[in-house]
Amino acid sequence: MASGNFSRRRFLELAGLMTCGGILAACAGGQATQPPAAATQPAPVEEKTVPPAPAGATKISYWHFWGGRWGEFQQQIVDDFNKEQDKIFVEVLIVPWGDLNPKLLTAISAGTPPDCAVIGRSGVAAWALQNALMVMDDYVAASTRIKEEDYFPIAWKECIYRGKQYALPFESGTYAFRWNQQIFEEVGLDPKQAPAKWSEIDIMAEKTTKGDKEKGYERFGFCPWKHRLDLIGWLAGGDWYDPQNEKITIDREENIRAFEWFKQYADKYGTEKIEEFWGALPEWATENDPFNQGLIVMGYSGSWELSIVAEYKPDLQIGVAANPPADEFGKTVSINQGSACVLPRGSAHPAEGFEFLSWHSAVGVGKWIPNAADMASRYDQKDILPAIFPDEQRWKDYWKVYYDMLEVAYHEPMIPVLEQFNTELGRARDAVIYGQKTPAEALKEAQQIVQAELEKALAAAGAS
Amino acid sequence: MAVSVAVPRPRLWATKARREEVSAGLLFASPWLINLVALTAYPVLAAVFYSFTEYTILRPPRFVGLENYITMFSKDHLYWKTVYNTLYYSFFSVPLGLALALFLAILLNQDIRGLAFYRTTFYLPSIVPTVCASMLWLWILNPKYGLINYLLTQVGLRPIPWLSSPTWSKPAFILMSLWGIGPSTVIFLAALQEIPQHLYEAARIDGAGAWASFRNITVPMLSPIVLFNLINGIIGSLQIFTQVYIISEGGPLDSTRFYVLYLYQNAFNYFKMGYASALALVLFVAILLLTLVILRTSASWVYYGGE
Repeated sequence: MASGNFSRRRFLELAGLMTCGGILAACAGGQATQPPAAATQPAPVEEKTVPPAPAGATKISYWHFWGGRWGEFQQQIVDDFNKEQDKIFVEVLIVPWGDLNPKLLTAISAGTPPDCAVIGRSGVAAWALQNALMVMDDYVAASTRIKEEDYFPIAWKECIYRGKQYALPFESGTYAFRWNQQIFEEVGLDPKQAPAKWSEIDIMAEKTTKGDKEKGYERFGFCPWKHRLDLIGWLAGGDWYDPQNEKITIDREENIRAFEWFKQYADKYGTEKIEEFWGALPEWATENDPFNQGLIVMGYSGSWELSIVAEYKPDLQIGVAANPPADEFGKTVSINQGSACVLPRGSAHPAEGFEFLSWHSAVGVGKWIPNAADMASRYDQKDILPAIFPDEQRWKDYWKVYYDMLEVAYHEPMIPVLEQFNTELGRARDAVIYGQKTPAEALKEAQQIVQAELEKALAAAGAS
Repeated sequence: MAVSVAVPRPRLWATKARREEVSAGLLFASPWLINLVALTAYPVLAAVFYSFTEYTILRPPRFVGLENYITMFSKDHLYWKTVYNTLYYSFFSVPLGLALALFLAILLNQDIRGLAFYRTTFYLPSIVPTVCASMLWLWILNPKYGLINYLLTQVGLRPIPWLSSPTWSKPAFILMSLWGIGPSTVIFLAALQEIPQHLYEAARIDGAGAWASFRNITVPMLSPIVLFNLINGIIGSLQIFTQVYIISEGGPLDSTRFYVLYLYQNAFNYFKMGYASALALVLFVAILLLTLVILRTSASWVYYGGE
């Protein structure tokens, strides 16, 4: 894949795609050297007798985007809800992640949306601005189940746009720094010692990288642009958006500093050879996962990636620590992301929909976390460990680091043009690493483009 | 040209029997007609309308006149890049595809054993869904373990970083397009078998060699099919989408940001349906004009026989 920063979004896309990959492996015979990952295999289809709705219950429709075994977990949770009470009966429809936006968009505009749904939390602002979601403030105020203080503020805040609540948090996920202790030991580094700042990462990256920019690489220590670009900017002390003034801040000096870090690696290790190495890596999140295989030694990684180690290489000795920031910033930060429970505009049963969503966000998610290996958005669920983790203290310690990171996490900019924002950041990265523009030039250009798009989107929403 | 003889046509609604026949005919054709009107004609016409609006689907369209077109041609920082990429791809993949398809068709037209097997083999890739083919090609193009780089290194060449290099990413997709030449090969093959054998016999008697026969019989007799495949190839190549969407998403360095991918991103990632409609319309007009130009100039090189 061209994109190196392995985001949650990409993870979901791939999970969908790999269903096809499985078919391909079946028909390609000897060609497919890698069996499709268990993580992405569609769960075995079982004939299940869905309990019938009790007489008098209101049937409501619920859309989510989790396929494969995650789809099964969702169904189990919904079944529990349906069994627990007899007033509401929830019917599930799985809309794959890649189709969710277009399908929800057309269903809402046609006036036939699902009664409730789960969407990516970073999309709440865009949907809200389009008047596609119902405001939940009154429901939340009347609810005995939902209290703001139960939730991590960063997850809660991402559900509120321009002062109104449009969603309830479902799960969370965040980034921490992890490294392969075995390789650290091999090259004479202290395996227990995490890098505390970028200059230390640079040293460790150099020591753990095998190969050079002439011959190419066999193992790569660390490459800054193969991560969430926004995270690297935040770790330099930057920021991307000023919500008070609704202004994009891509060209802040700290962000430029982050992209200069990319430039250093491009010059030192050679972009072409790095990209060639990355292009040849086995598929992430499979049993051949490059981190598990020791091909990539360290990096800022998502909490969901820890379960890939637990599943395929539970004996791998790794370290997990707070995200090392830029030397001059010196403060660790992270990103939190997850999904959100929403009532689409035109929901035929908003009250029942909210009743289910509030249960889903407060109780149901507690059943989700251990199975899906996600993080909680609520304080009272932070001790729930993913079931896949081996029963050893070190996994509890890793998980605690991720929860520490959640406390210092940002959420993505709440802007209706988040897609353009990410596209332009990716383009700026390419321009920098291929030496076409300086970091300042690239980010100034991205700033202008995204700011113009933002103004257009805000004006359009205000005009109609 | 055949001389057309004016035959008096019976009027459609002349008699009761005729009327019944027409309504029955329409009834039988109705699934297709409904499809054409509701699912093809209406969306196409709607796209024309929406191309003059700002439309996010969730809010009513707002009329903006020519703004989308002005943005496209003068303000959009990516538009011309996508045009260049797409033309580059089309310029190489179509002629290469044609030449290779013709070459294969000629090979498959020989009298050798196991012909049916070869024909099936060469046609097979084109029935593999593009999504699966893309996943497969990710492996074939893998810089370290891929089949192509393996072959290159076997003959002493340097491996090529295909998809991770802005220089090689477009050639990678061109290469991939050559994998799907099955249908045009089959069409060429059918046309080859239509060429009367007596032409070749006459040429042989007159002392023509293989090359002269090919040059003076095969090529002219095939020229209408070349035209057909050329136009189809251009239309198809300008709309390259699925493999790019799956494999490269436009990168690296915008080198695979092709026209329809950009159109899709505007429509479904940025929710700019009005702008995406304008992009679609311009592409439609461009393809139409290109096809017309080729058809007009084809008279000088296409041989329809009998003239």
